[in-house]
Amino acid sequence: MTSTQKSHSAIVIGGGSTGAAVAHDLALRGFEVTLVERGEIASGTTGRNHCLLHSGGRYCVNDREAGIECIEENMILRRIMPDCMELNGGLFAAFDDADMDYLPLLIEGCQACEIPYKKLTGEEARRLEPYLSPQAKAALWVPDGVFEPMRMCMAFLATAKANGAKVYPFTQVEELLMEGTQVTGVRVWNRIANRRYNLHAQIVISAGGPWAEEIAAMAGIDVPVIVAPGVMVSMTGRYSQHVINRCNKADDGDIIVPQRETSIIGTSSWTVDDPDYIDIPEDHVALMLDRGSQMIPALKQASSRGVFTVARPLIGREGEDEREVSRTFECFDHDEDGIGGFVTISGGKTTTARAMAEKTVDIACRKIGLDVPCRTHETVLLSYRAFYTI
Amino acid sequence: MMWTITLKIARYKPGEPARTDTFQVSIDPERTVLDSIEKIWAEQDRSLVFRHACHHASCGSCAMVVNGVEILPCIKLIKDVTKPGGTLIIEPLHNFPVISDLVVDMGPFFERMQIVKMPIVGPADPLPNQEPNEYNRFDDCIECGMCLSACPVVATDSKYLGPAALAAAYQILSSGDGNLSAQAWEAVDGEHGLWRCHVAFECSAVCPSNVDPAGKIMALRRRMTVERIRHLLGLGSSKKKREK
Repeated sequence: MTSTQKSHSAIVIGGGSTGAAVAHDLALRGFEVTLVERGEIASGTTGRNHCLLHSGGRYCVNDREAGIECIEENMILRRIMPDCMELNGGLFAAFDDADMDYLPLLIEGCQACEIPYKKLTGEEARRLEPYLSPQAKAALWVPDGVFEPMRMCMAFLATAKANGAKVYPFTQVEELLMEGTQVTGVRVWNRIANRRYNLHAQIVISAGGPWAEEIAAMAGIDVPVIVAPGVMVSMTGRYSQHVINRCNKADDGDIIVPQRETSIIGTSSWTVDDPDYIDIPEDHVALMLDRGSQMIPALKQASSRGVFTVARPLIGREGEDEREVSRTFECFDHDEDGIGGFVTISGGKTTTARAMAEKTVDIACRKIGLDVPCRTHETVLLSYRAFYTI
Repeated sequence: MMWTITLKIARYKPGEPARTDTFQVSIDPERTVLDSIEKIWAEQDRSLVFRHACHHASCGSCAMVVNGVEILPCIKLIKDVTKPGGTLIIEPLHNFPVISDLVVDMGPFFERMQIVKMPIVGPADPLPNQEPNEYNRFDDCIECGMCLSACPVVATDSKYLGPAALAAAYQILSSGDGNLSAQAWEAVDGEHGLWRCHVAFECSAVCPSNVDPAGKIMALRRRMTVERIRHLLGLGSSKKKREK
């Protein structure tokens, strides 16, 4: 604590990309911040994501709101963490007639969302990416990129710590502390020391991703979250520099993300009730390899380096088709549920974490009558390495 | 097909004596060692703490010692380390302060990496038949700490700069116009720098990312020897590189 006691305080639940970005934004706006995460930083949904810095191309046809959010945030993240990304662009490649029919829709979507693009012939695409299937008929270049999700969280949190935030991994919220209808803090189980204690703040912000429903239920509130895992297969070897997307509507195995010396094929989609431990359906792995090698045939001969699955939190009710649910985010001010001092941010994706944080902290400020503008879009983050050394 | 295996996991909580807990878990042998530990946490003991994030050997956080060898459990399949009914002995990385259970303090490691300051993203080589372009990619080193855990010198000299940071220093010097800061030079060439290496090559043996730190330390020594001889003969540096 610095000598000047800060007059506003907040607790952030969750150390994924959303919680990390919220903690950074709060600290920058002068809050006394405490972040608690039940496991390691980025050990939930964020860590196991596809590492794709979205251009918005995947969403611009059916989900323009998410497409616009992605391209805006893509451009901001390039500025604020420039040393922590592979920025080689992405291709939406068309291999059959159905893909070719989708191409004009994609171009129209890119125009509507103001996503920069460049149309390439099949030959031009293969000149850029020699491993691309000879079936490639055309491609659209977009500014996709690749990041490292854990390091992204570290960069947000290193900067938050430098601005006074306290970050406690392995600290699980077991109870929301209430005074009447006001949330006043959290009771936590610190699993490092195996101790339980209370933490207090003016505002508690839940950024629990697929666990947001469980956390809100502690205050008797229903937050609608669909837990939709997807399987990803990391293949040994780099077979492209660009992110390779299938030029068609979202489907299983429609993307290959090159990262370091690996190529990550993804993803499938289904729904589960419990995000804590998810079994990987073996047929999903075979499906990823099959669909991925339609775009890059050499992947058939590559060896698998790792198979993983992640629980995406989507905002929606059970029974809705998870592929059709919007990938945008939603911030719930639980004043509307009759509970004060409590906010939930859910949905969204790692690419839009900063924007999610901006909207959430705007609401937090409004709740306590604070008028401080957001500066995260122009604040270059510290090195992720500083997270461990501050 | 499921296998039942036994995991003997090193446990430690501050203020309590260290102990070993034994768990049995039923798991598909195609799943990873990390999956088995996560399953134990989910189904049997929520007080168990361990680091993990990406589950595909990119973040470097889950490194640990299994049956005496440093591994990345997120890419190590059960079937490759044991058999049905087999036992895995799980410990935190060696040569690091243990915070709790399998979690070690990575602070000393990242302090070393901060001294050298290797960029984590650098140029990517073009693929076969690919036109040269300014492609970039994350470095091979995932900063997992396994090389420090396996290094016999780190075990005896806690200030040793260590394989990862020395390999990073070599990488900076061998990249086009790379320069080390004066502080980095002092650390690399100092009392706890590259001359402490005993050439055990344990670091290269355990590296999950083919960085070959030991090979790079040897190359760094050759280079430094040439620099010293040039200096003795009054020839100056072979490359302008002692700039701040």
